[in-house]
Amino acid sequence: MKHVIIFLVLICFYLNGQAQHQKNDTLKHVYITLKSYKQKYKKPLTQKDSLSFLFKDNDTLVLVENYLRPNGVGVPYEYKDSTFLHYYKKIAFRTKSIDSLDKKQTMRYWKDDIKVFFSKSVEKRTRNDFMSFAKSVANQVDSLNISEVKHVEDSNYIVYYFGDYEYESRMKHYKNSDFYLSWNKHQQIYSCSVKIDTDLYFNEALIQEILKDYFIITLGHFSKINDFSCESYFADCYSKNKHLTNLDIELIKYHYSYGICKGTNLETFEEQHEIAKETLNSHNRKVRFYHPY
Amino acid sequence: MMKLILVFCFNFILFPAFAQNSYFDIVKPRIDCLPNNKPALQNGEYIVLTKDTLYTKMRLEPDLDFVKSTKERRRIVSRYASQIFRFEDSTSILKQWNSDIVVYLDKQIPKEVSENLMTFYEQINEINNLNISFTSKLKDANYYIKVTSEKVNVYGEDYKFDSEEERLKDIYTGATYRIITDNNYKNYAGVLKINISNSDNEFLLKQLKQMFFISLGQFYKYYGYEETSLLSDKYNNSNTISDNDLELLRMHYAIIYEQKINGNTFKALQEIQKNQR
Repeated sequence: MKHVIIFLVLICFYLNGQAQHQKNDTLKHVYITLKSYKQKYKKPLTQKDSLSFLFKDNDTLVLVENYLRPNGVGVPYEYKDSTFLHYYKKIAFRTKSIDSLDKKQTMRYWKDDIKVFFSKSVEKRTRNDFMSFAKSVANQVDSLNISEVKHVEDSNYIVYYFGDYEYESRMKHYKNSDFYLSWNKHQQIYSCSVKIDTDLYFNEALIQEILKDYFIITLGHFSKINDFSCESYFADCYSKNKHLTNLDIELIKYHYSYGICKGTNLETFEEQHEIAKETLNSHNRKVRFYHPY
Repeated sequence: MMKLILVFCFNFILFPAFAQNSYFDIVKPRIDCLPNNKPALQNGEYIVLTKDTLYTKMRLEPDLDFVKSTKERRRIVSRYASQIFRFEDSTSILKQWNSDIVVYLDKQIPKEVSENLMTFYEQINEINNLNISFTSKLKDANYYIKVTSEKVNVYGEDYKFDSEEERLKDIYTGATYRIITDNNYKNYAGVLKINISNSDNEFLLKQLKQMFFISLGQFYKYYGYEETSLLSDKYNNSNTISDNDLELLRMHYAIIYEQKINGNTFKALQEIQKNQR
């Protein structure tokens, strides 16, 4: 049980996350990693602290007395096969080559519900096609909610065309269709604007295809990769038969699962997985990821 | 000594897996994202999902004869390589269409020109992996030949022609095209914009024939080619497509590459071809 308490607290506590309510409680003796201690407590360690250090799996653990756990929720670690994680990392941490990963790249996600506003130029059937697709994704992914709004001020996801009112001034000089994502320091995406050049995307079929493509990518500031066949939305190649494959859904579900920490960089993601897998293998117990809010 | 023998045997067994002696070492096959019961490629990548495992589909190594630079083919292979990878820039990446091309012609284009253009391009329907058709509905097209009243100047204001006649005869005078390309350098849609206000039907047809052909492979025109070639500066507006032009298309569309191909990888494919059969 001691191990469970150790890991339950040492993971995720510095992150903001969306979770179900859980009351504050006090844990009398909790070990946290040295790295986590330094992040949470800005005071230097004393000689007395060092007397209660615990060394485990090449990590130094610091004893914290009367640890006040913040409001939040604990979610069991979601195990995934290493082949799946290999591709997930390339997509979510936007790394072109897994062998030369930038470990400081962070994953990004939407914390709030996505509220889509379409400019008047967007045809009704294209709006319907987009919303139907977006909802089909959201319906399969926990903690992802999408709706359409009529007023731009109520939105955080805007779709418009070249020649329309410039909803995103930072795309004013863009020559090609593109999107602009904004996120906060916790790597939570809070707005997105999509701007389409209808001179080039000249019919509704082409517009609908690119909007769906952008939608998937903007769900997590994802990177497309050259490992998957072109039917996948995460493949870097076009297909007339592009659709949400089981693989696509599983990747998005995992991204939005609270069985992993949110907004981490790749280095932390890998460290946490190592600990969680080690605990699962050694003790047949699942680490719980604690998500304060 | 025994250890050395073992190491040698181990390397000998593994060598074929690491050496670049197969097409798939150069053009990495992609994992099929749909579960299937078909045989998987040996040593191919795979992904384990919650309920399925996705494999790299078994496929045959393609015949690379078309890259062979024999005495008879040296000229055309060299022309192809310079067209696609430019002369000295081996990092230029090949662009090709990976979907059928469905062309919509603007109704403002004279009927005679439209009909001649369609007839002309029917000649290339025997090229593997390249399908061109025409539609009367814009909603069904992925290639729009669009008439514009805007001034189209591809060369820029400061470009100097030798004469006004030369400027007017240039196919890029009043016409340009834009192609939508995915991140793997495959084309899937495009718009050819043309100002027809100063063109007679004969020039317009010539211009459309050449521009459309160029957009099939991001080719460029060259003064040194024979005048039957659509890529020649002196193109004679022939009713048939020259053998050289057809051969360029055959080479370009022999394979729709799953990965990016640049001048260096093309050379590597030529090396692999030497060992095929």
